[in-house]
Amino acid sequence: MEYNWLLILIPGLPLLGAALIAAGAQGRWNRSFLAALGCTAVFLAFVATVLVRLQYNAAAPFGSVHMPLWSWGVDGVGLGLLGDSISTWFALVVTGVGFLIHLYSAAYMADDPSYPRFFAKLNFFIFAMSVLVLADGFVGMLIGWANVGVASYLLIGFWHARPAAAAAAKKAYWVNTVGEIGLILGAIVMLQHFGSLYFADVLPQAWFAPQNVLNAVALLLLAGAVAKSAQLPLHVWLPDAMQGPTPVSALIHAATMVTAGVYLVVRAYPIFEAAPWGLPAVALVGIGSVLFGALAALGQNDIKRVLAFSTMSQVGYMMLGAGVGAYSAALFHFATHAFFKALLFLGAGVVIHRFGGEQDIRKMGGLGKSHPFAYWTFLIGTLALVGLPPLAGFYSKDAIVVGALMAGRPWLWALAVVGAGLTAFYMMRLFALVFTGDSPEVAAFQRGEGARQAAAAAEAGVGRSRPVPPLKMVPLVVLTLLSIVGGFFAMPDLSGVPGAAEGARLAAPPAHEAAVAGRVLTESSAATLTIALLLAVSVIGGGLALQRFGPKRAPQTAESGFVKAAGAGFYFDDFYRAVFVRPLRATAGFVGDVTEPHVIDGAVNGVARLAATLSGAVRRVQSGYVRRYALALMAGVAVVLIYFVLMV
Amino acid sequence: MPGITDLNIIAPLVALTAGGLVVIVADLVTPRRLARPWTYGVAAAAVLVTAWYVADAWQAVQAGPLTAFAGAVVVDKLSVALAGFLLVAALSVVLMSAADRERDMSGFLSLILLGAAGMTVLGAAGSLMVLFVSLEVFSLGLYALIAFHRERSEAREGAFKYFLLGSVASGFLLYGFALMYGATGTLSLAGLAEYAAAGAISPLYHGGFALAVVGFAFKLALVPFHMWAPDAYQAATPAVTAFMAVGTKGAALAALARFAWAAVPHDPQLAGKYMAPLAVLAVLSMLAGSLSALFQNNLKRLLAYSGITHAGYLLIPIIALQDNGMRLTVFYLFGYMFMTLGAFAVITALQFRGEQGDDLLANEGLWQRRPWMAGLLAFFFLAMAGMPPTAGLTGKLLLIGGGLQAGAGGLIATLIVSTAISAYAYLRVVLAAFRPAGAGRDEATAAAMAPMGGGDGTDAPSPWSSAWIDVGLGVVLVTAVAGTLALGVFPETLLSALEGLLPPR
Amino acid sequence: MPGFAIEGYVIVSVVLFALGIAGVLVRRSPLVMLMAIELMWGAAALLFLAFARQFALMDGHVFSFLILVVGAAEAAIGLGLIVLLFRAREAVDVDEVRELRG
Repeated sequence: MEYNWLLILIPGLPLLGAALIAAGAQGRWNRSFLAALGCTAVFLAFVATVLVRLQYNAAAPFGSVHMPLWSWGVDGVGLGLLGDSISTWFALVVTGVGFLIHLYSAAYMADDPSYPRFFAKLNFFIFAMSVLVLADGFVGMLIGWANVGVASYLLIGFWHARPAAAAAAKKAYWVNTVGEIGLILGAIVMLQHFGSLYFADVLPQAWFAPQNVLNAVALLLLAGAVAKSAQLPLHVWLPDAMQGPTPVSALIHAATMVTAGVYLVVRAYPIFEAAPWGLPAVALVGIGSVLFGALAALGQNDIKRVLAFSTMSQVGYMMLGAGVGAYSAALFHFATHAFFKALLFLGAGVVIHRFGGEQDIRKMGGLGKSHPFAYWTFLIGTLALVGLPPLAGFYSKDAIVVGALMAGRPWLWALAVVGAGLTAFYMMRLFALVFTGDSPEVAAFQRGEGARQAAAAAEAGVGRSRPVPPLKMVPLVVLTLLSIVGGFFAMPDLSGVPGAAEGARLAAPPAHEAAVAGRVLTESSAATLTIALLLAVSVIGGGLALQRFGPKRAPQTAESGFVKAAGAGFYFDDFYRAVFVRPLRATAGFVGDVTEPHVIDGAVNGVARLAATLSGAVRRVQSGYVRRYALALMAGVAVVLIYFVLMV
Repeated sequence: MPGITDLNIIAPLVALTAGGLVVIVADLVTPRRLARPWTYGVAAAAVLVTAWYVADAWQAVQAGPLTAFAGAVVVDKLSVALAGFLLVAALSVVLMSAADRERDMSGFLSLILLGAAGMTVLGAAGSLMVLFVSLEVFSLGLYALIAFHRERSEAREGAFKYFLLGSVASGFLLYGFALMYGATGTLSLAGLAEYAAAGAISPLYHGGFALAVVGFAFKLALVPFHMWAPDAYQAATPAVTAFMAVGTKGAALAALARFAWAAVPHDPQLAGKYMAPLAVLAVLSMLAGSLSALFQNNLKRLLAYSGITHAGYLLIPIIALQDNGMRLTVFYLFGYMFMTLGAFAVITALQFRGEQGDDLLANEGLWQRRPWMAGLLAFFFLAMAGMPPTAGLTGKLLLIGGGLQAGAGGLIATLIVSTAISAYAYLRVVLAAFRPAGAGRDEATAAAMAPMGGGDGTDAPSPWSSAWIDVGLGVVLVTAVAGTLALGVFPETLLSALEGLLPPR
Repeated sequence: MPGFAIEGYVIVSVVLFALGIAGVLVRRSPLVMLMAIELMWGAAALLFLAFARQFALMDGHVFSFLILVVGAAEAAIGLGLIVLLFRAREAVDVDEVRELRG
């Protein structure tokens, strides 16, 4: 049975939902009804995705579900939807996690006056993102790409009355515009060289194209990917994007949109693989982002900014996976990361509401006792991110790191292992500070800051646990389950995607059985070694963080906390302090305080300021004096005339 | 001697010109109470009759180009396509102007029709003489149209500035023509083409071409000859501004293409040198236009800068002197017309309902007050930004594809950068309309804006019942939306009709 | 026509044209600027006449007549606009006319 038309429902239903909600909000329809409408639209899109995936499975390994929509006047330029291994995998996560986050938002945003507007924009995002991943060529992908940018801009700036939110939205817009220009230029080079922009035309040919063309295309596409996926050095917009509502951070700036760059690289993998500079550049960007993100996360005190840098770091792992040719592993990590990072952000939302909007983790603590539900879900999310077996993150991260070793890049492998240790450290620090120890009220009481404050806090109900509403609980539970069992899903493979067959034919077949056997052998030993190392660094990193920031940590002032922790520790602590903490703190501090705002941020702000300055300059020329206009005209005439007389 | 055949060939022009004259007479001979419906009826009828003749002419030119008056007027696919283009624009402007509060509109309508006739002739000019006269016919009409509401001080100022600079530019154009005449001894474009193909080009001819290019660049508002455009656009009523933006651009581009096709020397190296200044002007226009639009709060000024940017885009196939490239320009011209007419029609409708309409800040909260208007405004501005599936995207893609074929990589790169910059300018307009009122401004401006919003059109006296005016504006808006979408989704239809507008050089 | 010396006419025409440009640039009265523009147009008409005489062709003559006709229409519109400006603000200086800018 052919159900190709189901594809159109995946972007179509959320778009319809967005339009209906926007219209309904105008007509002052019931708020809850509009929210339900938004959730239903995305749920139905998810159902359609599942059906498409089933149909794809029936056609696999070499079939795919295709639906052309229309074509423009230029040959090879058109739009259609394609359901194959990669795109249905992405679409499943986008609509599935998207639906869960819609549900959560229905509770989380309930008090916001612009509640329906929020759902309209969120639905619009799902539409744009599914166009991005389901497009059958670079044209559709660009359309989706631009529209997720718009959705992201709108949602970061959702609370537009906050100047910080407006500034963050603007920054995200400009960085992504830079990336889009790269992508468009890449598409143009492809159109010129391959005469088409459909994946099915371009990617099979890519294996045979001249190297300089491939290099140019790969680097231009990578520029787009880096901007959208917040990778080094265009990551600066992501931490600021946390000014948006927390569900937005979870959906767009953690689970789905920021992985669009990974999608692009995996989708266009024949180009990156055939281009001499392609994969190394991707891997370099990936490992750089892994380490930078992890170090920067160490220096952050805002719960959402820690998670934002963590996202950058984890997307770096995906990029690294793609860069060493472990595409399946990158796709796999995308899915598991979507589960546990969405879980963590939603959990962070619960935490932030609990502390009355406070986002500074140094001022938190003791949540484990009063909120066991939040405690356990967040713990599982954290452990999944750290990569403890048998949770989801273990399998996917391990697959990427093993892939680096198998690709013959031991340096990348070693750095990736270091990154895993850092990950464990910053995540356990976050967890320990928020959930263990004493709650701020108790701490204040113990410090003797007066029972009155504590009483006032208790009175306000801040300390008492309000039960988590079921609408928030269901997504958290589902995501927790997914974070636990996500690792057992089958890894996606690339058979049947455009360009794969030609690539497989090109690759030299294994010479003999022994080579294959040897490969399997090394693979298994590499995997064992990697697993052991990853577990070791994770446990060490996590353990250090727990010891440093865990329940027995001293009161919250930084200096005394540090001294007391050192005093309570064994000689190991001294060692750790001298060898590990100081350089690390210095590095993290440097990365966070110096590089971050001054170098890269400065460059981005510089571009915006340059545009404003130029704009001001050209408008000042428009002075209103007609005689100056005449003078400009005459000057132009003189230049043109002199050119013609002298040069022609 | 001109005979009946010649008049047959230019029948659309005769109809349009006669319409322009009859409008005035109709106003004189009808009682005051009926004058307004009558004049509007006559104007609309003139456009429709002309459309019938244009359709006829379109059939006739499929076989090949026709010439009239010893080659002075060339009726080919380009000139007929342009005539159709101008008729849509003129009819829309006539419908939009019904919202005008002025009581006596016959002069206005007559100037619109005669202006459209002048523009049509400009696109069909086969001789320098016809080129000059038709250029002046519609320019003089536009000066008067801008100053039509003479009680507004900005209308007087804008018209005066445009007039002064336009006359200077015409002086350069004339002097250029005179030099070219001196070099070649002919005034017909066919004669110039022979001279340009023959080889030996005199320095006099270089200088003449330079000055003539300046004349065209002024009408197209290319940087640095653009200074009049923002002031004149802001000064006029939205209907006139739309006519000026769309009509002038179409006619001047067609004339420039025809002129360049004939007058640029055939030696490829020399041709490249001849086109280089235009390429520089196009690049400057694309960049300066989009940058100037970036923080512009007056929508008419913003659309003026957008027009400057678009003139740069539209020039690309002409600069490349590409065989069959003109169809890309004309295709995007149609798209630009629908988007621009739509945007100005929204502004007109807003002003008719007592809003300020053309001010970005005054449009805040439009989504709450008038959701349909806000939606339409967003549609047209997003289309200009290149949002799919509209003509704004398709047209740009076609230009990019064509430009790459012709090897104009630098121009295409500029187009992309400029599109990215101006997308932000357009997005600002959209976001302002969807922002709750008062979110982005301080108390003082809010107080200043307060009396503007909320009128429903009944407070100001209007010579007509507002229902008729709404129908007219509705027709324009629906046409503009349909056109913008149709060209975006089914570009093939128009594109294949525009095959072979100009013969290969 | 044998013995027709075109150089003199061309020189006069260029001088007139330059005077016109200078007039537009340096004078502030709208009336005088309009006269300067007419000077530019006249220079072009003179050039057409000179070349027409040289080639012994009629079309240049026709063109110069057309320039005069269109110039008259131009002056009519221009004077109308200038009168409007005068009436509103008694402005004799175009530099005072700059409400529209930016």
